[in-house]
Amino acid sequence: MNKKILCTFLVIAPIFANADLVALDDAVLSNATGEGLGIVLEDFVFNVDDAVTTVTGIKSSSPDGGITDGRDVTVDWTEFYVMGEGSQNGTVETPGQIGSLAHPWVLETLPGSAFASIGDDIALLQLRSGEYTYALENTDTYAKWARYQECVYGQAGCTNANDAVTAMESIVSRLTSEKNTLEGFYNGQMVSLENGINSDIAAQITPQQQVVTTEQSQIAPAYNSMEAAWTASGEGVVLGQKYENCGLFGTSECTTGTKGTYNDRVDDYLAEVDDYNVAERELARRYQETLDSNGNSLIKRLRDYESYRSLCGDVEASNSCANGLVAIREGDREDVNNVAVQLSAGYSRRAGLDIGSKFKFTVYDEDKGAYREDFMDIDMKGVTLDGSYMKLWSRDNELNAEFRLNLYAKEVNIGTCGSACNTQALQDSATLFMDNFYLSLSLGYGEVQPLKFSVTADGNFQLELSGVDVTNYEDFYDNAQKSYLYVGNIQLGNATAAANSLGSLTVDGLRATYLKVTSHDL
Amino acid sequence: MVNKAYRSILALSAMTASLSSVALEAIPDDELNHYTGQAFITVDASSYSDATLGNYEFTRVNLGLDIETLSNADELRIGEFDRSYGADGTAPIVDDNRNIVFNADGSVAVHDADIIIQNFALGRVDNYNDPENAEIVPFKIKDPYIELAYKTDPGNSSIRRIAGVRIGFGQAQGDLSGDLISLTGNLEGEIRGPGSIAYDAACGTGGTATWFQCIELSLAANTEIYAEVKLLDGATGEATLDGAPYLKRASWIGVPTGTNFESDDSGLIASLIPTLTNSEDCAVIGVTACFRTTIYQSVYVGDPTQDFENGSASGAFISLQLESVPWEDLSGIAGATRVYTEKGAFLNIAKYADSSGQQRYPLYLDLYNALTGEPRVATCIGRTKGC
Repeated sequence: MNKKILCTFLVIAPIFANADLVALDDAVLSNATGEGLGIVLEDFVFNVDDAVTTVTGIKSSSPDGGITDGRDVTVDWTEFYVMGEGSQNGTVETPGQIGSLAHPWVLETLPGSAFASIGDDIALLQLRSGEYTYALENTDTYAKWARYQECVYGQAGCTNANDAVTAMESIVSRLTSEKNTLEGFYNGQMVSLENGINSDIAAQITPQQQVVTTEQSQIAPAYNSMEAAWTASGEGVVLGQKYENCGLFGTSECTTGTKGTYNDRVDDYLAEVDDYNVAERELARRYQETLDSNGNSLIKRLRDYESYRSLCGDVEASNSCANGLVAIREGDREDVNNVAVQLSAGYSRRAGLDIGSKFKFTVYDEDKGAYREDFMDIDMKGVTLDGSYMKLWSRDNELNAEFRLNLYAKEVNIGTCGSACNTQALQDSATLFMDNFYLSLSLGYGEVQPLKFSVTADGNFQLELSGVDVTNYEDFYDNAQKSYLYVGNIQLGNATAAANSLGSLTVDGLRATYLKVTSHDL
Repeated sequence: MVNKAYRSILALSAMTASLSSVALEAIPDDELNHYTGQAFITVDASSYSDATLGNYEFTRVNLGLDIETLSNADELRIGEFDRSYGADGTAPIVDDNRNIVFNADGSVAVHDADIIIQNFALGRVDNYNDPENAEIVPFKIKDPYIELAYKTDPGNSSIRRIAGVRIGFGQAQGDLSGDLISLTGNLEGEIRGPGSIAYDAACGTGGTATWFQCIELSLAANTEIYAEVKLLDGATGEATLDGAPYLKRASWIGVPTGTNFESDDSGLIASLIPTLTNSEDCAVIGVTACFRTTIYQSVYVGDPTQDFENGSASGAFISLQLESVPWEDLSGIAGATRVYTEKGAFLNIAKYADSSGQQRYPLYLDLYNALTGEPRVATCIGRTKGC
């Protein structure tokens, strides 16, 4: 086993005091302004290159419906390294930096009043990574630029930092054009458009929607009655199909007894479905035939209005278009431009970290009837994490949290071949290459929507994001962080062959107004 | 400075004490002895040989999770790489009159990515414009999974590469909304309604059916007619292009050319329905049979009239392939074995078998609704979308 940890550990801010620790009461604590504990790891290398950690207890699904437990699955974790950028997949022990004296990671306590979304009667514990305001060094800003640049800066063919600005200009121009087209169609009277839609919805749609809801609610009971009658009848036909030609004496058995009852319930069910369809059809007719003074249908106006809200956020008499996609992308353009200017001026970004692991999974192949070995070799290059944080606080004896992870990597490579690929060419041909990988995952927004993690009475875990309601939804929509996933280029095998490229992947602006995840036994 | 640092440590100490007051208590050994592991993760391995495509191995990680969510995303854009019109079944962009749109260089315009969905959302908000009474109706997911597909070397099965990855749901139910700009994969539905609607559309003002067809359609007015709808090439109304197994970057949906409406009714008139309703060039006896996917702002995955146990859909997934991959078909439909996918992204929202084994579609359209589209359900409090 070869374990090496080489680092200089600097602790700034506090000096450890020789004194008894005395708890502060809440009133005093809420006024605390502790500067926190700064953490900087300089010249850091962590390498566990031949140790093996084995995970057991995982099973395959039970193919016999739970009669057996399934087959054992074994996971061997055979490598883990964290080094400086340029380590060549962890083979060259290159010192790396986690934080710096000017931008340390910080563990601190803060009063709730430090955040608008958290009550000022409590204190919270926060761990945050370094923060950079300089656009080129700020991971969120740089990743945004990389997304539109669509290549890894400095690599062949990727030397004009303004490509991202040009792409951004094109997007802003298109969105602005769409906005102007909509405003032009309605003569700029977007508030009137909104009022007209609301009026038509109240008069035409809402009442009919209630009819649809009522009709829909009657289908399930009718279905259940039909299903019960079907069971009682001996299930002699497919559910929903009526009995015909019952017995030697004609159809009498189809109109009496359990079969007759079932046939009646089928008719009842179909009648309910028909009523529902008629109600839906009437609803559709109203969308199509409720016109404004210019002859525009409600469905068209609604689509245009929704597009406008998406582009501009709020609808105002001034048509300021201040809160929608147009404004967001204009803000992005400024960020992207700042990065491009700094790169074009010859500045370069700080080196990140290289992080990697290898796993071996021993799994049972149901089709081959034998165990096989799956390999996964993950190498991340040039990783930066600034802007990440985790806040923890207690409210009503419950642990609440807010979490954000900003993870950018110049490259993420995943190999799956194992020792059978014994040449570099073979390894490359079996490796998945991803460039400009950026994950910004945000969970929770202060006390408006705290992240709660708990365990149910039967031992399963539960994660919940809730709390957005009439009192706070505007604050939530205006201020809660969204999540992003962006991969600039996904490529299999030869990292430069265009034919192997799957291009980019974008999940832009994901945010859960409500989320509840509960585990259960499989 | 010292004083501040000292206060900081005290505050940290107090915070720790505060957090620990959440009443975590150690479980004694004799009690712990009765606990069994909560097996919410299983891993399944399988393999498949295709005479044409070659040999594959699959590893699926199943997660025992019940998920309820109301989520919005500004945009999903998957598989953004160069494709040209016709290649591998890449559909053209067409205007509202179904004329092909050309780029400035004279080439046929196609969408930038295999899947582009703007204002994507799962779940809905009832009474959205009355925030006091707004009610979140979450999208429900049970047992999601992540699966990797490996292509193995014909000469040495130990040499293999990642061929694809998919994220799927064991079961799902609820409203899926978005501006469906570009789709690659399966979005299947059924369009259904009385023959009278076809009569109105084909024989009313502006109708194009012949007098003979109108007479026959009028006789079939009370007959329920239905047809399967699929993603289409808006220019031709075809479900395929240049022999590709499925369209890439489609933005139209409807009754494919060459198919027709069916009827379960018996009798002479009903039996004429298939003959009368053959779809050709986006029209069935004058009734428009192709529609932009963007007019369907919300799709209900599963059966809205049933609870999750009886009304959830199975087999839905989204995948990314680096080369052809035959994914296992988990729709539950008898005889369905593999979903064949090609390089690029693939969204599978296809027909499935419900808890009674009956075939169901994720998208049900009424003949009238199909023409007008499906309005978006609200996915935000106080607004329909854009949050």
